[in-house]
Amino acid sequence: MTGNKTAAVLAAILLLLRLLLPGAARQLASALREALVGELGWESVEALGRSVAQSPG
Amino acid sequence: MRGSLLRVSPEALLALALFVYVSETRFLLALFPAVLLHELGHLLALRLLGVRAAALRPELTGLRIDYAAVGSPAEELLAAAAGPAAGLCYAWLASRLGARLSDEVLLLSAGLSLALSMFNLLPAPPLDGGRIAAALLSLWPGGETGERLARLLGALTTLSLCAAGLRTLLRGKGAALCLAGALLAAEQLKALRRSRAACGYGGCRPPGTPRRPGGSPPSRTASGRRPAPPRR
Repeated sequence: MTGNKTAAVLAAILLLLRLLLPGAARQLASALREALVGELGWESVEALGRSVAQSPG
Repeated sequence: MRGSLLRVSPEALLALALFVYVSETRFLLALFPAVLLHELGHLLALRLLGVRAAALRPELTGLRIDYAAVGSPAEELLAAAAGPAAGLCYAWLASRLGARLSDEVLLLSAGLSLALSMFNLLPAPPLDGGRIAAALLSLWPGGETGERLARLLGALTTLSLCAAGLRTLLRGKGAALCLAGALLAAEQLKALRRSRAACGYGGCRPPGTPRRPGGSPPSRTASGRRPAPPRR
């Protein structure tokens, strides 16, 4: 139960930090995205989404 | 959180908070309905089959649904396929709506849902595709051979994913595939260790005997998955 409480407190701090320091969160998100998918941006995923309705059938 | 349908472990709670912290709002808005629809597909199929979900567990590899054993391989196949099917239907709908309204979040959601559904259909446990493959192989050739083939197919798929991920990583195109392969490999190794431990203490069941008599309920995840992912 202590583990659950500690995790809940840490999670709340993280979410609060995101609200208070959105710039830092955005920078971290951008760095993480680049590490995970390289130069591939959301535009490519959007293009993939657009292509679903355009595909035959 | 004991007693409720949703069971969140401390690690999962922290991972979820970190994920929300580093993700863009647009991405979260697009991902949430894609994951929700995928899971609702599974839950609807289980309900139609008369099986009650015992627990929903968010994990690193996705959301896991624990449920009592379904009656036949065909029913297992239906329960596993329902998630990706719901995800693909949602992707088509979101894509049409997004194109008509020129809404970027809807188009992003459609793309994410398509990618999640396709990834979940890979024939490797604990992904939905792995469960579908296991159900099909239990129909033919069935028995121990079917189980071994399902494990082999899962291992080959995971190895291919790791190799493709490594190639992508070395070309500087990100570590996502590599990470997905590593998580899948870790899950399969964990399952293998569990089954070996069960053999060591209680003796392996002979071929052809029913699976898990009175044992723990099977579970599945969606992705990304999860997958989650067990999809994952």
